[in-house]
Amino acid sequence: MGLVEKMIKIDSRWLWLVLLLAFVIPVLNPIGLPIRISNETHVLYDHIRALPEGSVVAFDVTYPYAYLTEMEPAVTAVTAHLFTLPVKVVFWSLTVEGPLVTMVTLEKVKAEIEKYGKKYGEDYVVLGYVPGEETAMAALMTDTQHVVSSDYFGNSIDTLPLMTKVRNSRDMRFLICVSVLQADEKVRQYFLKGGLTWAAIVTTGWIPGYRPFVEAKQILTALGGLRGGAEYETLTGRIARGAAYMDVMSSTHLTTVAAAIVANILFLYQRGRSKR
Amino acid sequence: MTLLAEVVTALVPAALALMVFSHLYKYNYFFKFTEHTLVGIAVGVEMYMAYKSIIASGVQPMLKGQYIMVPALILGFMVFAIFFKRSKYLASWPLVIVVSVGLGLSASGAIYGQIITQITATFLPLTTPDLWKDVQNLIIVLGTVTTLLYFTFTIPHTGPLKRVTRLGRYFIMIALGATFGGVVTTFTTPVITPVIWMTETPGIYLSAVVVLIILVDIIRSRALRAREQE
Repeated sequence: MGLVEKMIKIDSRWLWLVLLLAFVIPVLNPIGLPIRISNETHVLYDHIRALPEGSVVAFDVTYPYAYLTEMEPAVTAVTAHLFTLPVKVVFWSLTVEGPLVTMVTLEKVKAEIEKYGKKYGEDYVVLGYVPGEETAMAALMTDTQHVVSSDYFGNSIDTLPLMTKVRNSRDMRFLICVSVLQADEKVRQYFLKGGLTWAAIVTTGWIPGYRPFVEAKQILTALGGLRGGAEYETLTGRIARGAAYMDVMSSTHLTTVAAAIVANILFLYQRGRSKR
Repeated sequence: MTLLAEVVTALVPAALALMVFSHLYKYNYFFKFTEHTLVGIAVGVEMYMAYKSIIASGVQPMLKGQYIMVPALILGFMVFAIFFKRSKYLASWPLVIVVSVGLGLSASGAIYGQIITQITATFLPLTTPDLWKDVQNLIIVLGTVTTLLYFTFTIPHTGPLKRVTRLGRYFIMIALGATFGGVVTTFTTPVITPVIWMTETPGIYLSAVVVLIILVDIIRSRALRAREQE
């Protein structure tokens, strides 16, 4: 059996091993590749920085725990940036795992909360899981105060000073939506019904799906997963996991691309030979 | 936290990650165990959160005097009628309401938000002072027109139309390629954290044990195969 035949019939487990090494090597020996900041990240950073004092920012953290590595760096970097500014933040989630990942982020920005004296109930609130998906979005835009009677920690909404000021989308200045799904319903409810300027933090896979809405100016900008997080960390100077993981991403991508090229060459070679 | 507790806390995720990745070598009981554990925990968490949200957004407001919640809660309980043959039909009522409200909400914004605005966004100027912008706009216009033509099946794709629709097909392939690339990125990222658990102390010791077990299994199965061939 020639080399080409051997490669075609290779046990897929060898490929898994190569891919695993592509993960492990940069984890053990970080390369520290430079990160170029995209225009999309600049747009979000500048918009947040320009928010007037006392603005209410709604933060829809709707992603499952399985995507923590992909989404958390960007969510944490943006949350940390918001907490350094004199703005108020209202968190909510449209999936059951949402509050759990929100708490992971809040745990990571503890330093900013303490440093800038952010008080729960006055400067930020976690509403928790709001069931109903698109119906919940519509309800949050029209009657935020009465969608839930208590927050994630069980406090009555009436006892939270921030929530007495946030009646509907008109009291919100900006919305950030973290999602692993399509933009359609968010555009319908947050942009069209709520009339809000909003930005999205989505998985890298969804970026091509969000681009048409960004081009049509229905979304301010869309940050792509881990890469977006690494860029935002670089911009704010708060280097955390996002930037550190970029080496792993680069090495695994190079491996995947190399495997795809080799597989295509082998496929073309095999097709050419069978034609002959 | 005691040292033992710290070690156990670090070992559990590493062990679970290794159990999951062991499937790449061979389907085994360790993988099966993690699979069932994950499903069990996920169902438990979902049920608890659903219960909590019903209490927070339905029962508590009702107890505070918002009696509008009473019909909503009754409708919610009607879903359980699906389990009884005689009253099965009752379960369709709340579903009808949920579907109709959802449809109404989405339909009202879909025409303007997703059709009209998206079409208008493709009406782009092709002669601006910025040459690069012209090129970008031309690609968007060409991509939209040729892709739409590709999906026009009422006229045969022959003659000059064949070339145009082929261009549309290339645009579709590029778009799908970009999406696929993004999806690969999305699904490789979650692997990073388990890899870190597996390569950091004390997870690395567990990984070493697993590698040893796999090596022994490879040698054993090779020896078995050789004996069978003999």
